[in-house]
Amino acid sequence: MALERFARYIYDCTRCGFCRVWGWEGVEHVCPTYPHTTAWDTEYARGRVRLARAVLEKELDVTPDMLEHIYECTLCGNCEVHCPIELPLVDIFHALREELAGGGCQLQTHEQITFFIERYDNPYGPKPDEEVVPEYARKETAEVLFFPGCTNTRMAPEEVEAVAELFQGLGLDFAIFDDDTCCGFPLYEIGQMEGFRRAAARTMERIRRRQPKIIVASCPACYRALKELYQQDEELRHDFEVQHLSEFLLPRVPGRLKPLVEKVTWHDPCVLGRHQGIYEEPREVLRQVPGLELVEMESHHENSLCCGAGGGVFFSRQDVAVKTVESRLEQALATRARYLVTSCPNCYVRFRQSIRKGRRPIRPASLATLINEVLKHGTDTDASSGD
Amino acid sequence: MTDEIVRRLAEIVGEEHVTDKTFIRAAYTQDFGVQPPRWPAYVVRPGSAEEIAAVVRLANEYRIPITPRGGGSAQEGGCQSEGGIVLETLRLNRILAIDESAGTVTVEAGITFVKLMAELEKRGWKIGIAPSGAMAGTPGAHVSRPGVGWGNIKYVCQGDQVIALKAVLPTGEIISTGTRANPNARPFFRYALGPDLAGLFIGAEGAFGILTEITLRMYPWPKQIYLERYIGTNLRDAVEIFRQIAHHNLVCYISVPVIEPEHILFDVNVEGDPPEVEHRVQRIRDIVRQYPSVRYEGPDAPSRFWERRWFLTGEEFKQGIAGAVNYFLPFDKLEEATYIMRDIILRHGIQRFAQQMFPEPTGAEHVNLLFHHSGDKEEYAKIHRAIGEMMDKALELGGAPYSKGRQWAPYLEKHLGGTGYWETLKALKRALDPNHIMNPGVLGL
Repeated sequence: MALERFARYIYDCTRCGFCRVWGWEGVEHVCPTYPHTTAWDTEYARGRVRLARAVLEKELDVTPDMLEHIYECTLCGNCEVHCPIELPLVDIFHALREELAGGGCQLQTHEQITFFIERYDNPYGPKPDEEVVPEYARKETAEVLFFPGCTNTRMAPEEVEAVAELFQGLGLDFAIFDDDTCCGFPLYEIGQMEGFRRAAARTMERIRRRQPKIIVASCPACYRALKELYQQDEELRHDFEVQHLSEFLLPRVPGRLKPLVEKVTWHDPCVLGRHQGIYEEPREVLRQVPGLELVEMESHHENSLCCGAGGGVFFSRQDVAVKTVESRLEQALATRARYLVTSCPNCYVRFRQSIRKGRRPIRPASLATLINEVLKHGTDTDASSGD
Repeated sequence: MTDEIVRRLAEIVGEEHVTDKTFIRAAYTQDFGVQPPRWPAYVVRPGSAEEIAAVVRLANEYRIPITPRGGGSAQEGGCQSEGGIVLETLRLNRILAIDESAGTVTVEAGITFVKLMAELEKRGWKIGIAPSGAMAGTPGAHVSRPGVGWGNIKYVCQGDQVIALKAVLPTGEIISTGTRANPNARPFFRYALGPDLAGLFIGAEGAFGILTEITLRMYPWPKQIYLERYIGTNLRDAVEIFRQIAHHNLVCYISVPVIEPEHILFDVNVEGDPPEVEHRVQRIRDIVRQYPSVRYEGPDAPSRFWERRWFLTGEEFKQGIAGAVNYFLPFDKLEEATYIMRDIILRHGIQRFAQQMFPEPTGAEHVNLLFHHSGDKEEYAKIHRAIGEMMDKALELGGAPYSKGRQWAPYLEKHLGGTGYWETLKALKRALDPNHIMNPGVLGL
């Protein structure tokens, strides 16, 4: 049983309730989705740990609405950061999902992405006719392989184009992975571990054929899958170096970027920040842009507020995801920054939708699109399509 | 019947704020302590005093017990209900008035302390007492315990900070206390118009009604807050220091988070204008200097703690969930009680425990935390045997429990039964709660 591994921690939860709401030290809510749910105790960490215990002990029948409460969590990890007794809450909640999914309990909305990944290697369904990766970036082998991931390819193709231009502008020997396959992380997040392994194996086989030295990902989910999750599985383990785009760019852009005299704020994607500890690299990349003023939102670094899309919530509870991204957007707007920059297609797409819909006075941009523009042009450019 | 009750509760509070779903009720079966789980039949979350009153009237109609619950972070089972309604107050989370003229703040019962304090701090004000569980704790629950915390010496307890209360009685009437009883008056004076009815609810754990609004005193944010730490090797000397500091009212609070044989660690917190703070600190040092068993450790560690106080306060619970025996004693009983409790704990073979003190002006809250991992049934049984014996002994020593909940109920009845106080409490309970629906079982009522 997946949950057995975490039984000790599940029992250690003291039920102090510090994971519910703070309003202190820049943390308005520890749980980003809780305020946008029906707000029962089972809709934030303390109650979810109680549900994990109920599943562990087979105390309760798993009902559809119980599943809903379990899967309202974005696995963002803010509760884990703020747990005074340092419980591994993300691992507990993931194991809970693994336990449930392994036992055949799955949200209907998640059944579709499971099916799509099995059938098309992509949670968004069959591959469209239009090719996203530019011709010049489609190579069989190259030293640097950019792995765009399914969400960039399908939901933010401008990211793929920007990376191609950026890498070309930097004079790199690179290729962009153009097989339209998903790293499997969406299945990992919802606890479908067998499906994840199958999807990952298919993707890994295709990556191996390319024989890169370095794999670069701008999507934190792909990055975590390739860097950490694949390495935990004997069949998926590999020797490629995996870098997040921000790590990759940091030594390559100093002195090469044109000015952008604008105020910019950085949104820490949960999987990149809290899960992988990458906070400073993207900020350092942004600081390489002459004239750029980097300002922080009220919640940042390990206190950062989730955009609401993670953990499969985007697929299952769009209502919650939309309200959650609004909370984060309010923090971004409060900085009066011109650009809201991130490097996660899930966060970026959610921001873009919300900014466009509300005609908000801020531009969403990915790190790649912004850096590409300042590599090419500098101040007078529009680094996003969201304004 | 169940469906009918859910329907009628939903008519009062809205469908989304009432549940009888088993998996949700599971999360309302326990608090922060070691009381066995108790399963409520319903959980309801009203959004106003009027809704609470309507729920209470319904509970009377169906003779269903009703238990108020704030953040669920007490340790003695006061917010549990077996088969009744748990009424969660967290939707009542607004600051209603900050009256800078009177120096009062009026809040709804379910706001968390940190949210209240953060808002006051922005405006240059503070409240006197904050519980260590301020992240989750609510004023409604804290006043009902009756509310100790950081500020215990200067501000005594949360009950002492109350200027006025608004409460729903067990039969559904809504009352206000202090000057607030006069519909034309603001809450600014507690002992007004007649007997102090606020006292009926302070420390009563919901036995006499459900608090909906609380008016507390507030104070200008001090110009300086200074902390320093001492470590002693002799408990008697340390307690004597606490007594002198308390009687001379030199500090905001003294915190004694560690009491081990020949190792007593305590922090003093002094607030005020800089010359005042300097004078008070000097007097504290003069007192401490009389006791060579106590050494000065300086301000660094407690100042670091203070910066992250609301978060770090939960750190000791890394040792597990705690069976708590927390009670007040006068200063001259504290040393003896510490050893007696320690003996009981060790005799029961408890592996992990902590003894602490939080001095008050006339004595101290003596805290005993017996930790276990909640899956460890053997340790859990040992803790239950030990805390039973400890509660009995605490009352025998002349102690007074802090939070009573359901945990202390049988021991209160054993030691107080037949006294005028006890019989009067029971008579009041009968008069105000004729159907015995309002949090039955707490305090032994």
